[in-house]
Amino acid sequence: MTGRSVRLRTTWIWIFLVPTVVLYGVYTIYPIIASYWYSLVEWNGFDADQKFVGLSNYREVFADPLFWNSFKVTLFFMLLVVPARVLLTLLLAMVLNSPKLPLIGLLRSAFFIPVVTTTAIIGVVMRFILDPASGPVSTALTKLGFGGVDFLGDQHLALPTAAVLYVWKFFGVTMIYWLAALQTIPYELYEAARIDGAGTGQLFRHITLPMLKPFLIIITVLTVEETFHNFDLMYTLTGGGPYFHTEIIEIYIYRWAFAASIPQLGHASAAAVIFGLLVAVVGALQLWGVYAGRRLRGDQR
Amino acid sequence: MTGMTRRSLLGASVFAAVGAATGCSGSSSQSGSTSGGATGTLDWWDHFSSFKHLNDDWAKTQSPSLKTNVAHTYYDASKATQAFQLAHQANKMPDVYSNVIGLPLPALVSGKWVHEVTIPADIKSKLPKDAFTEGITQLDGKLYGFPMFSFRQSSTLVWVNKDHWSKAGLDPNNVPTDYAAFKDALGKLKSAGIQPLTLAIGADGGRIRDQVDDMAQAAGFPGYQGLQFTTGEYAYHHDAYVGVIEFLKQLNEDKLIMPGSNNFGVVDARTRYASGAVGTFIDGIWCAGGSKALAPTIVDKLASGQILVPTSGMNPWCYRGRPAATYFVSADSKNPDVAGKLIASFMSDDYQKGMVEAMDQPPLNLDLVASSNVVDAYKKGVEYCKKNVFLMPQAIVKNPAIARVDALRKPVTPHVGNIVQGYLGGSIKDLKAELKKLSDATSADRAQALTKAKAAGAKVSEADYAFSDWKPGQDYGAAK
Repeated sequence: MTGRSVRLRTTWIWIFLVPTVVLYGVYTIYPIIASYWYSLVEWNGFDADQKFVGLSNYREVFADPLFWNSFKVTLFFMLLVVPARVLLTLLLAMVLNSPKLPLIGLLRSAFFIPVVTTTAIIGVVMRFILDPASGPVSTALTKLGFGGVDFLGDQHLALPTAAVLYVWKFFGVTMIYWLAALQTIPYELYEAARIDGAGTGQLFRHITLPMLKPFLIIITVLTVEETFHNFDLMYTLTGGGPYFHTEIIEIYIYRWAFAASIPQLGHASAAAVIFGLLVAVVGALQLWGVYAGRRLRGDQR
Repeated sequence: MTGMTRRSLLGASVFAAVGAATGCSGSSSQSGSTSGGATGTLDWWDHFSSFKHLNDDWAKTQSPSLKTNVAHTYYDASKATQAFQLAHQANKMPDVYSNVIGLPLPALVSGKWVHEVTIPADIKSKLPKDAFTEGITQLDGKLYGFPMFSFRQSSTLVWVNKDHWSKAGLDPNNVPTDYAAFKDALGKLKSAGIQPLTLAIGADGGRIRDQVDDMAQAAGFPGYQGLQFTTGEYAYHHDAYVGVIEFLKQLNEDKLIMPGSNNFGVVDARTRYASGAVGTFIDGIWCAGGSKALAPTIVDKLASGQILVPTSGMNPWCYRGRPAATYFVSADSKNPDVAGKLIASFMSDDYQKGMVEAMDQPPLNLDLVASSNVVDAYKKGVEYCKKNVFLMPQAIVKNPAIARVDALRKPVTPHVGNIVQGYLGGSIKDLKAELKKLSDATSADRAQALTKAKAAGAKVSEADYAFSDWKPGQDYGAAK
């Protein structure tokens, strides 16, 4: 290849990269950089003046008990959701991976439908379904003698209820991850084990589980990261209430940036930067997960 | 003939995509407002749901007389603020817009949000002198708008469903006014198998906050939103606030408040009332219009009562500030004169009649309501407000420089509405201590804003908030 043709080829590569670089820069990199700047200023978003205040917004965020409350709620929500999502979907994926199961395509689609339904619509519809005065769930519970239950208005029930709905909504995504993982296990291994007299439990313990270990790390880390981005469902379900019991960090940021009578974009951006660092830590774990997964798979080969 | 190669086609596509992307981002010089005179269109945005049809029709009728195409757009109040933020940053502000931004007038002027307006003399003569206040509607003598709604209004009237109340053996035209009698009435509704009461306690707690502020005034709190008029000090922990919230707690514990109300926003609660799912709803004077918009059949079942007071015979007095401008003309408007004429047209008899019939916030001239074709429940509510809602003293009227302090205030959370939600739900055990914390936090926030404003050269002090000559049951400093 001549020097001219190499240069031409490089130029074409850059030309094809330009749209991605421009769009990624405008819609991802620029907002991130801007939020770092906004976190250092006092600005209401309406006024032209942005007063530089240094780390003052960070000090205020760290001193705000409601920020730490939202931090705690976000982490607790993650702890509620991740084990349920990862383990239950694994069990379901194993059932749906069985070649003998009838209507397998229909069942897989049925579990995937909530994933493609708009999250905010699910939030609104679920509020009607869980309405303690006239919703079908409370009506049924009342007929069974339990009385109406205020799933979304009760301080002890609101977060677990949101967690259950979240798990249901995104069940299909994790299930697809697991299905893909399960299909990497050679069927011959199971056949050979069965010929050697292995039962279902032994197949799971000695073949399925060891073969899925690398995927378990990756899927868990991906699920952890996904649970941090739950604004639409939580906002439409509870708006962060009752009394901040479901106020995840994203709603906290929204409250300061848009719901205040005089928006405080500096404060909101400082909270967003701290939240971003939390997500970055999880992202680093994700990279480690991918690396560990590859290594494990390499060892297995 | 040379055909297009795959590579050149892809290359052209890339250039087109880049062109589209850069075209989308645009520079501010290219994307200035094209509304107003440039295209012969006058853009008008507002957040008044009850006036949506009225304003759509008004835009059509005004287009010929203003010789421009008036385009009206309604924005939900909760989304309007963001829409304005984005429009302002993109230089796409409408020519005329409703006052939903929440900044004090000096900040709006310095931020180039508003344009001075000129009101024709005949329209100006229709407006009361109290409609023009330095620091609120005008600055340095320049007028930036005028209020269209009377300050004599309330967020906290009792709205009942006549059918439900009659079924429970209650007189819907004689709604109890004190806590004990009201609680008894709710008990009778419950015994009759009717959900007794709903309130908008949820969402951001903003509505219940306003209502507790109003009920605290009616219960004897000598101030507004925790600020005592005579001393200028915050006292959310005043007995009046504690009494109101304890009363709501009692209603909740006796299961007289509809389940789910702790999570209801205003529209959620009003929808339950308008659909007949609940017998009673505490809402603003605009409940009649808002409910009608949701379920027109409710109109015949509407009855209303005054704000509740702790004991029978107490004066149900409330206090409100001077109203700000209802509409502004954008600083970017290419046609501010025509925009000003559109705003002035809102004071015409036809528009005012339409406003009254929409049964939203009452007009400046409350006498228009009595002679109008609206339901008695709305007339009764307006009549209560006319007799019992008074003009309160305001620091910004005493010293317009206080606007610079207001612009530096920050939200204090949890506010009263959040505290009500937390106390009713069991998250807060010591109500008085929580209210004291709110008083202290609000005082500290004002102190930081005063310090910053003084450092920036504003001549302000805490004394601006104290009005030792204030007397209950009177308009403070009303124009003679």
